[in-house]
Amino acid sequence: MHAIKVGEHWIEHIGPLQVHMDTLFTAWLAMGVTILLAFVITRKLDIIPDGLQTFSEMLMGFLEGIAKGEMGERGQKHVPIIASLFLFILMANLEGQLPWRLYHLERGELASPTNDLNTTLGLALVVSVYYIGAGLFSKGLGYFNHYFQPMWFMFPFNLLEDFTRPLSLSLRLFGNILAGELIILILISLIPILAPVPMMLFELFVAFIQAYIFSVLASSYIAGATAPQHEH
Amino acid sequence: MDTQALVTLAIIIGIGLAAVGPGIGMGIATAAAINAVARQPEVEGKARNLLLFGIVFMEVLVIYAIFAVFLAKYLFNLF
Repeated sequence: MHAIKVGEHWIEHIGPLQVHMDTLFTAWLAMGVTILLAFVITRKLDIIPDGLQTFSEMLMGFLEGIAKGEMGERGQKHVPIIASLFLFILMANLEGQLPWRLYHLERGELASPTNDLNTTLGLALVVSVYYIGAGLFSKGLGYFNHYFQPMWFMFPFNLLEDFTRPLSLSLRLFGNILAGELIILILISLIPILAPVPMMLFELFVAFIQAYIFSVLASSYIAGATAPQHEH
Repeated sequence: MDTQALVTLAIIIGIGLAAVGPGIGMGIATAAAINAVARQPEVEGKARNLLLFGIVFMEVLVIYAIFAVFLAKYLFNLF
């Protein structure tokens, strides 16, 4: 039985920054796969779609459904960010089930980039900045009125919400992925053969659910920020 | 018992206790959703979305407990 190490990363110093190279590598891989898939699918678009195009059109319909389910027709212009978040998180989560252990690093190991809090907090902060920006863009300075709803003394609580949202978004994704990988690690160290397989299959499901939940919550935050006044 | 063993025990019991409350909550929420769908099968999609939304906020409580364990790891230099 080998020791289970949590939160160890392959750290490099680039200028003043501490960089987790394993996370960076797998994150870029997830992005690369997403971009490559998008590129391959959009090469030969046809009126009569082939299998891959049908699949991607269904996926796009699903992603538009997430955005429009929360916001109605206003959601159309927010589809790009929701879709990007969903596809990146899905790819990143699924990556953890690849057999990375065959390749040994000196410190840490390759896994999902989302099992690093830095990645998930980055994604959550993107969502915060985006929904505050979208609110300012759609309502101007009137956006700040909602901090004083329904009464002025609710201001601290409304302000607190802006901080708990990225916290819970990032911790949810991080915790789910890390807990799944930990359970698989523990099962591997107890019974290495066949025992972790059901858990790995479950993790494929969790990867999808977490990506879905992240994008649904992001779109509901954007919906809340851009909602016309007197419509709650 | 030394401090490390006590802290390890505290973490194990704490995570178990943290899972109790949200577990009960999720059970109640799921039962309510099943009831709603059984009474009115046409609201299935809506009920599923609402259930997912509610469960997400219960789940995050357990996740906070897991996160507290990793904080404890750095505070006490465990594992």
